[in-house]
Amino acid sequence: MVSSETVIPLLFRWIHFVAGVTWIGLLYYFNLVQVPFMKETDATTKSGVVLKLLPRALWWFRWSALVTVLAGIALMISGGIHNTAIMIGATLGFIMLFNVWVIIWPNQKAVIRMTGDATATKTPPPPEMARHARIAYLASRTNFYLSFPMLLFMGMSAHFPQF
Amino acid sequence: MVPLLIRWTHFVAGITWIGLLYYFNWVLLPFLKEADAPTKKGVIRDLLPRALFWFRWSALLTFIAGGMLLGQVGLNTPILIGASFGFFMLLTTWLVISPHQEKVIQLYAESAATGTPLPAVFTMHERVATAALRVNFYLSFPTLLFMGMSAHFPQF
Repeated sequence: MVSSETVIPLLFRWIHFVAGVTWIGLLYYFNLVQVPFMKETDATTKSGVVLKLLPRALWWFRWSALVTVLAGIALMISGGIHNTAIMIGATLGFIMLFNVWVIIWPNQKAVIRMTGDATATKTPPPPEMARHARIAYLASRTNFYLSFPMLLFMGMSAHFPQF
Repeated sequence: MVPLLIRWTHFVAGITWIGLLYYFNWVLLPFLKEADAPTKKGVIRDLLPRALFWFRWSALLTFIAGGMLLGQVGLNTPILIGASFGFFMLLTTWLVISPHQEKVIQLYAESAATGTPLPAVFTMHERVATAALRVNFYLSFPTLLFMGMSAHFPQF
């Protein structure tokens, strides 16, 4: 029967899907497209991308991450979803959200700021910029690898009751 | 176990495909509008071909895995609607977006190599690709809703 008890979890699941596709899709973009691109492109393009493209991508990345987790929690509560698979999947998701907001975003922000200052003053960027870029890269790689088991457990929570 | 692994493939490939679609619509197109000419040139030359490679192959993999999953778990009304939308988006990806973006990349490279201005047809290719990206962007929202309904809303 169509009622608030069935429609509300469906709407939360839909928001969870759309936000999750945005978040993890941008994670795959960073790892599969942007990192290899940055390695081979010229310095002008690179600084243009860091200053103009990266802030936009990171805005969608961090906010979609938050919406994904909030909609996921709302779905678990409204849909009464409690099983081992979702506990593992949600834990992996939490670690990834933490990485996004506490490691990737602040370090990328420092890279953007230092690139902007270096471009404005026509001086080379400070040496610690490489460290910020490295930390952001490692956290992004970690989330990339975590996303595969995370998605498997998300699928298992609803489609593999044997677990 | 087999349906679970197929579903997982469908998830991972689908996230890559639609995630890149959102990237094109929310990040790349607004960026290209405001970027300066040298950055735009570098991005079309070095970034766009990579993004398109993952975009079109993940689209095909999403659809194949989805078709296999459907064969395993069976049909219902929402999955028929969702799959029709998905098939239409796959056709748009391969027959409209990809070829026109390839032309954009090629014409940009030729104009950069010869130092000549972009031909008039460039704008047409850019506009067709952008329009098709927008169509897929809007279709993705009902598609994802019907995909979710097919397994989680038996009332439909």
